[in-house]
Amino acid sequence: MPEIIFDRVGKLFPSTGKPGLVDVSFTINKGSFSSIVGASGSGKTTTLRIIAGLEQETSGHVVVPGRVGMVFQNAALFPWATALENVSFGLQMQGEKPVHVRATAEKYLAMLGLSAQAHLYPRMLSGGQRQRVGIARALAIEPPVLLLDEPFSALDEEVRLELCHDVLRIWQETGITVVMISHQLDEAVALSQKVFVMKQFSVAGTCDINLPYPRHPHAPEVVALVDHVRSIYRGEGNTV
Amino acid sequence: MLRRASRFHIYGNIFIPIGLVLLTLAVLWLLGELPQFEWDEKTLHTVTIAVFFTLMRLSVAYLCALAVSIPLALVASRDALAERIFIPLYDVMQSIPVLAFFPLIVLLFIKTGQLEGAVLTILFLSMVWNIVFTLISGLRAIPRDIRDVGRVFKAPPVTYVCTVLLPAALPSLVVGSLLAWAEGWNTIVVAEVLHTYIPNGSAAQDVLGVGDLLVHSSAAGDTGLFFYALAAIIIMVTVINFVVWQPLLTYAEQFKFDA
Ligand SMILES: Nc1ncnc2c1ncn2[C@@H]1O[C@H](COP(=O)(O)OP(=O)(O)OP(=O)(O)O)[C@@H](O)[C@H]1O
Ligand SMILES: [Mg+2]
Repeated sequence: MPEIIFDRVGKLFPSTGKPGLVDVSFTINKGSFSSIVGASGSGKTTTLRIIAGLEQETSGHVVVPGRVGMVFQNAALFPWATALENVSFGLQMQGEKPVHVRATAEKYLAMLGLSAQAHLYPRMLSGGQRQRVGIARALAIEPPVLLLDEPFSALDEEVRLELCHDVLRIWQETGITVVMISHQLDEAVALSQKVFVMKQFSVAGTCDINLPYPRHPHAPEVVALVDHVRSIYRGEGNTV
Repeated sequence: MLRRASRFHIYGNIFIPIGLVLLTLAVLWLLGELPQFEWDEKTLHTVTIAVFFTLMRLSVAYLCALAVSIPLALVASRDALAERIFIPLYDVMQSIPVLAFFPLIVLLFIKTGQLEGAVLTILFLSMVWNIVFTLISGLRAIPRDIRDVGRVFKAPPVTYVCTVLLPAALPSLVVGSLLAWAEGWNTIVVAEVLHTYIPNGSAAQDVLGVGDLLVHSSAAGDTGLFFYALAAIIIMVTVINFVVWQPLLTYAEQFKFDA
């Protein structure tokens, strides 16, 4: 069952008159894990923002969920609010009862291993912990889709691997649809069922990955697929 | 580093006012006008009441300025188009010299017998643009991601303003308020001496306040009263800085975004 459909979608930014997307078509199924990779300025964030409803397409047709959870590159937490208050934000905006807000926020903080940090402010947290709060905040509204825009790019390698593991576990536990932008091809291949490669405002190719989880980054099948995605990226290969 | 900075603030808060008072005394001494410091209960009483009235005036004007400047700043920072329309407009309005229009405002209020209204209007006008422009720059500096958090989670407009935009711009709101009060203290010395703006006006038409005391005592050569009034202003500004602005500035620190 498709959850997100892009049908020849284009985006022209009125302020610059320049494109963000040109003729993009793809389908993302419910409960799947997809990654978007591609060079800087190729339209990855624009795609995600249209899915989130933050940006309006200027041509073509989209089907997107009414509600999404979004994780930002630098967590984008409110510095004036504690971890718990940050996670509560989305629920409060939905007008939930305070008891329910608190219980749900605590549940998702616990899911990301942050119960002990609930009352700390963002500046007292490490980069990895901040990003976990951002993920908990996105999940707390229990959206059908989780969008992540280069969520780990500002983190150390070790922390990045831990967080990748967390996202994979959450996806498997909740059955949520995940769309993640990544600038690490091995990360994209290790996590997702489908990788979209974007180039010059459009999808240059896709790669389906039918390997079982957990995937070891150095396993030959994984390495082979990373090479394949890289060849699409460079314009040598094409859709599998 | 931080500790040294805060210690400087504390020293500055104590020594600068004391220095100013001593400097005033020194100037008066040089002029041979050193006031007689007999315990004068009547003068003290007058100064206390004047300080009270002046503070009330500044507070009312400030609250009005705050209430008006927040929507003005929000409207002007909404999007690129609003910025292009409103910011030049505000620039023009801000650059109109308030005091040049004071006689007009006074005449307007005399018709209705509301002299206090004239003073409040002039204070309001001298304060409002300080808050508007500081707040606009604060709102414009909010990272796009933070605004998007409000939008992705579908915050209703008023909630969005109160829970995202205003907290995010709080540091600039505090700085704008501080500037507004500084401007208010500057203006008070002129604003309370209304009669100079009234054709054939007399001192009886002035409103009681420290600004008014300062001007009249100086004109009457009453150095004792002048000194008390000046000391009262210095003490008030110092106390307000100490108990209001310094704590607020420190508090607002935690609302700042990391670079
Ligand atoms: N708000 C905007 N106004 C004008 N142009 C924009 C805007 N947002 C993006 N663009 C342009 O659209 C194109 C695609 O940008 P997008 O942010 O989607 O790229 P990206 O693939 O996410 O890049 P990166 O890897 O650097 O994040 C770029 O040329 C960019 O300059
Ligand atoms: Mg991007």
